[in-house]
Amino acid sequence: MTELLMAAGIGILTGCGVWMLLRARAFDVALGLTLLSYAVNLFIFCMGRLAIGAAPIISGERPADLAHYTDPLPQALVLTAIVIGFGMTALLLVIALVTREEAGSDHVDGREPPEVGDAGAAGRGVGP
Amino acid sequence: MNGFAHWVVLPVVVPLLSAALALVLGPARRGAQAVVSVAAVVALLAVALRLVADTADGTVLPYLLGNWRAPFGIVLVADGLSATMLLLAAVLAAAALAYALIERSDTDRGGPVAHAYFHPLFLFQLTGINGAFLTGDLFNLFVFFEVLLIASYGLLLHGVLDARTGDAPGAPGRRMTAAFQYVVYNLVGSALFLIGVSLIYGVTGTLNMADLAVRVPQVAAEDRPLLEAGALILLVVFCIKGALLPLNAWLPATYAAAGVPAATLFAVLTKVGVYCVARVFTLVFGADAGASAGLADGLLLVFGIATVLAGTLGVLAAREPARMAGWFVIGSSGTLLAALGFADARITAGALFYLLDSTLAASAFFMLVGLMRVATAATAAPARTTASTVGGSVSTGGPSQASGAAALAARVEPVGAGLTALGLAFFVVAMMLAGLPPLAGFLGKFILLSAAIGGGPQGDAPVVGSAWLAGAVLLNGLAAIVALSRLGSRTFWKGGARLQPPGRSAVVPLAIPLSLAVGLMVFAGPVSRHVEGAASALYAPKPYLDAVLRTQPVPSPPKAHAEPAR
Repeated sequence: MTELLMAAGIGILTGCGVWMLLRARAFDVALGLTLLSYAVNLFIFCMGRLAIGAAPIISGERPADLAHYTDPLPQALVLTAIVIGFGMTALLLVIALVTREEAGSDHVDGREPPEVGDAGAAGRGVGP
Repeated sequence: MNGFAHWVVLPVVVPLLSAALALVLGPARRGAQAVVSVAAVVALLAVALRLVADTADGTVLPYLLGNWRAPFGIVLVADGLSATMLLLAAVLAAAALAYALIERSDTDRGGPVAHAYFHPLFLFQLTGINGAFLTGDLFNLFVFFEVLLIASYGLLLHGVLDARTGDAPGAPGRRMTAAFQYVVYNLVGSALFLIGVSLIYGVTGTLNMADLAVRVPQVAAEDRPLLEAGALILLVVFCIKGALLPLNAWLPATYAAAGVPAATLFAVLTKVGVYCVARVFTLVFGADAGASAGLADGLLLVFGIATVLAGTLGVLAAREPARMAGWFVIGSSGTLLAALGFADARITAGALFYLLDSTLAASAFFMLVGLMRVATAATAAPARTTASTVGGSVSTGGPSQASGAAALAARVEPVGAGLTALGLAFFVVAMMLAGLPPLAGFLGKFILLSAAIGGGPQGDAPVVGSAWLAGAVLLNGLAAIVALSRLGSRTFWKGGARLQPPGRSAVVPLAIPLSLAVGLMVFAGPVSRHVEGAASALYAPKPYLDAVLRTQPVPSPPKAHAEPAR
């Protein structure tokens, strides 16, 4: 059951992340990358196998066998990945803001697409 | 090993500490920052030379970080290939730094913002590049990738914001957009990297490359698809860095948007991707990998050749010189990755020789593009149309340079020494990029292709592939001749006397890669023997595995034993 929940959670996060990533607005892309990095972090964590109530660090209180301990390495890896991912998201948001200012559009191509259905887009764009 | 035992870690530690020092000094003391950078790069050159000398006979130098045994602790490894790459990176760093300092002294009169954090970012990028070349551990490879990427984002934005003054309306937005796309692309790449690494860890329980090489043949058949999926995801990530065909759309715009010193150093970034493919897919998934042997070879060959063809078209189609330089980088990357696809030591040796030469040529061309931009800035001021066709898209010169140049251009002057030197340098670089004899570009392609056509491994598949590769590479050379003659005649002949020579000092940084390329030609014998050693070590990884897995930690000094244990 735990495995199914984790797998479904990671799958949903990845799906949402990819969907947001493929949208053409900078903010959506940033959100998509955030969701994707959540999914990746959980995925790394799971690769050490799921164990409930097990400690990663050996102490004298538990019997010294693998049934009572979980793999500490993925936990260390995921910590690194979280820190890096968080920093990159912050940087990405700053870059997105500057791009919005310089290009006059939050479209990932830096200009509004030529034909857009809604009337509002034409006013926002600085296109050719 | 006697005496100082920490040579292997120095290529990471020296730029890291220098970057921290440069950061502490702050943008206000840029002279001191420059001194730190120069000292670090000189030290890196010395260390890299020492490591190349130490590993030339096939010695593998592992370095146990934290003094733990290899599969448990993390490890740095210097062998022939990584030492050679370290030397290449140090050389390019020297050239990029020389360009940055001279460009600075020419243009930097009272511009407080520009280049404020160039030196720390530059040194952090070197930390990441050197670390990626040295690490013997997949997760550390990820960390060093991130270090070099974060620094490259910073350097790229420097170039973008730096060029903002005095250029065509709309251009800054375009360049900023290129930077944004580059960052997003690489963030997705990082996510994929983590997925691949954790899949491999989930199956094998290790991330040490030498330990992986031992365990991969033993992986159970039902776990193998998972392992191979992880490995191929890693391949995708490396090929994003190495700009293989479907994954290379980011490169020309990004390199064109970066400032010249950054782009010069970026020339080695694609080679980091190529190096990682060479390392991981020979060591872990090489001939000894059981059912997973030669996992990536066919893919690399097909997509590599397609990349060379794409590079050919791109070179012909590029309107700006900086973009053209990006397409040259893509073409050489495709050649290298396709050559790795043959999984043959002699072909790989040719590829390594070509790698050295093509990286030097690409960095020289990036600098040349910058100098040509400065030279055409004088004509750009009265007539913007010339600039837009010839290539004033990123005017690193800035407004002060342009106005000074315009004032000087009033003095009618015959073609000066600076311009002659520039034209000659362009000619030499063009010959290198096109692979014309007698320069090293020709030798690299010749060694590579003669090994591929003449005597590939048995079986008919490699022979078919080698003919395709030879055709693509030669076509790429022809396209280079056409595109570069067009660019050169438009800049130097049509631009003619109106060109503003950039001054003799500005040509100096170009001399670094060019003289080395000439050196590669003159000393082609020793160099090709050296890369042959490095390449054959890739396909006979036993000494590497033994060195990494058998190295014992340094025993603690006696004083520690005297203390009571807990």
